[in-house]
Amino acid sequence: MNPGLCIKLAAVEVDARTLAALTLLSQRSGRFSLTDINQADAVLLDGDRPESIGLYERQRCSHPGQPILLLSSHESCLRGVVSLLKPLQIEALFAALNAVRDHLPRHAAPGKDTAAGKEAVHGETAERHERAGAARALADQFAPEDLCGSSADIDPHDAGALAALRFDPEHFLLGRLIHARHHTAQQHCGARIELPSNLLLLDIGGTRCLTTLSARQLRGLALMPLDDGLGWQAIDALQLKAAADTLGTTLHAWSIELLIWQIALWTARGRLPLGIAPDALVGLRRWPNLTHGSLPPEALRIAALLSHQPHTPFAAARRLGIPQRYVFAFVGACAALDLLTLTHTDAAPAAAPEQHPARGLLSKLLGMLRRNSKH
Amino acid sequence: MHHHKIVFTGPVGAGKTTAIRTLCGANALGTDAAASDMTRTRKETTTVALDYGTLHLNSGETIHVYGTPGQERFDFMWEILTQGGIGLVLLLDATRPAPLNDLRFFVNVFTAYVERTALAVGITRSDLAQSPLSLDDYAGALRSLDLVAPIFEVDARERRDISLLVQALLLQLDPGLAA
Ligand SMILES: Nc1nc2c(ncn2[C@@H]2O[C@H](COP(=O)(O)OP(=O)(O)OP(=O)(O)O)[C@@H](O)[C@H]2O)c(=O)[nH]1
Ligand SMILES: [Mg+2]
Repeated sequence: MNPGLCIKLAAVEVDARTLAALTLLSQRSGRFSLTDINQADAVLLDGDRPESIGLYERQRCSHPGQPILLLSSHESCLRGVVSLLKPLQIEALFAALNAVRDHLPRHAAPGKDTAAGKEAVHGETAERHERAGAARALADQFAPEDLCGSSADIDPHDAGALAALRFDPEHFLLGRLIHARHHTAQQHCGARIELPSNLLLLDIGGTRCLTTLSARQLRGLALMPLDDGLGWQAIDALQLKAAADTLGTTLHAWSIELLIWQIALWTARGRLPLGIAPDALVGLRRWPNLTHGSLPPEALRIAALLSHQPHTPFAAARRLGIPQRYVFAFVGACAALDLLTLTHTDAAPAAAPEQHPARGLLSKLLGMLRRNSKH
Repeated sequence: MHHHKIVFTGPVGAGKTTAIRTLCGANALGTDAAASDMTRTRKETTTVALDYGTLHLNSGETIHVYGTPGQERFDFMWEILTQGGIGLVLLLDATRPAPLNDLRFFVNVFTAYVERTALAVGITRSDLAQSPLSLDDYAGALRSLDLVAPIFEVDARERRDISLLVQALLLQLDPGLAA
């Protein structure tokens, strides 16, 4: 991504304070400029106003591909919008603008990921080597808010807050990837997943995904609810080869596990997918490959706790003394990879894991390792 | 005296010496010698006795890090290795002919130790393997030995990878550890 690119944003029907903040930010940051709705790359709407649905629909009809940012006091489930929660946070706005920028056709430049080329269809160790490097590079590429959102903890008995916390992977690229992966592994075929003006290919057996999109572009797509009209289909080896040939020369090959991990984190941003009931006891069947891809905050501790003993997501957060969104992000991504065991609670709450007699020393060692692994 | 130890084990060439150097830097000491005929096809040197390194905490305490020689002759060092242990890091080379057999072999050698402490498994050299096993394959083999442990793909030369593996090892002993 080139931070020099300036996005033309139209702010529609936002209140005077937000407009003043946006004006100041656009001048200071140089990342976007405010403009008229007809000139805009993207539109920011106030989703809490009665007229906002009408505005959204009109904008969708007149500019079908135009990204819409919806500023609202709750997450939006409207198709094709990027939600921004009130009060507007600078980081969230910039993350949304990055997603928009990656989505704009004229800015869609491939990142520095592996140029695996068309021979990516045939597994090469050189390509695997490159892939390992690209997977590591992801580790530092995204901020914690990109992976976990910024929502505050909620009371698990507050039905409204709970509803706002859930999302349905079926409405997003995530759901399609999960289905296509399952099918390709079972049927030993490939898959073609349609995206707005692009596509993703799963190789035979579904262990790798081929795409021309960079990580940032994929993140932009992950956030956007997809049209039901865009689906996926199983393909054979010949169709896979033909489709890979049409994609161009800069194909990036992702391990499917890594791609689903990333897409799940980006999509959920700290929300809980519908497949995990808030009162389900969540255990870990196998640890995710945490050296590859983004490492959401406290992932190691959450993994250690859940592999030791199942907990509800809320109980896990309480036990570890960490924000709930960290647990939701982690278990959501594990669910997408089918790494969880889910059972229903009638049982008494899990007993606290024993404290190690050398807790003090081990904590110091852990702290040292954390500091050292940063560079 | 009660030493705090982390033991690295695994087959010849899995990356034990490299990982301990990565983790302990200048505080690592190897006992590599030119490899015998058997191992020379894979690399130039092999560890004949022990790898040893230290990690020094600000509080003045020392963690001792040992690596077993890869040639499966470490019975004589058993005592040194398994007293005062924090846990076992098992490194498996994805390019070897049967990594799951390696996993079973080393877990069996260290069963009693792992039951008392903790285990973390690192799969090295996946980037060089023609058709590497999946992490589900490794997890399945562990499960059939009644174990659940972190299994990460690691590059023994990468500090972050080895550090995350050891962090996972520690947190299994007590997920409530605060850094
Ligand atoms: N390409 C690649 N090389 C690796 C990776 N991990 C380790 N290596 C290399 O593999 C070799 C491992 O050698 P050692 O560290 O001597 O292995 P060892 O386990 O100590 O071997 P013995 O002492 O003989 O049992 C080194 O050359 C490392 O640089 C990896 O993930 N990818
Ligand atoms: Mg060695």
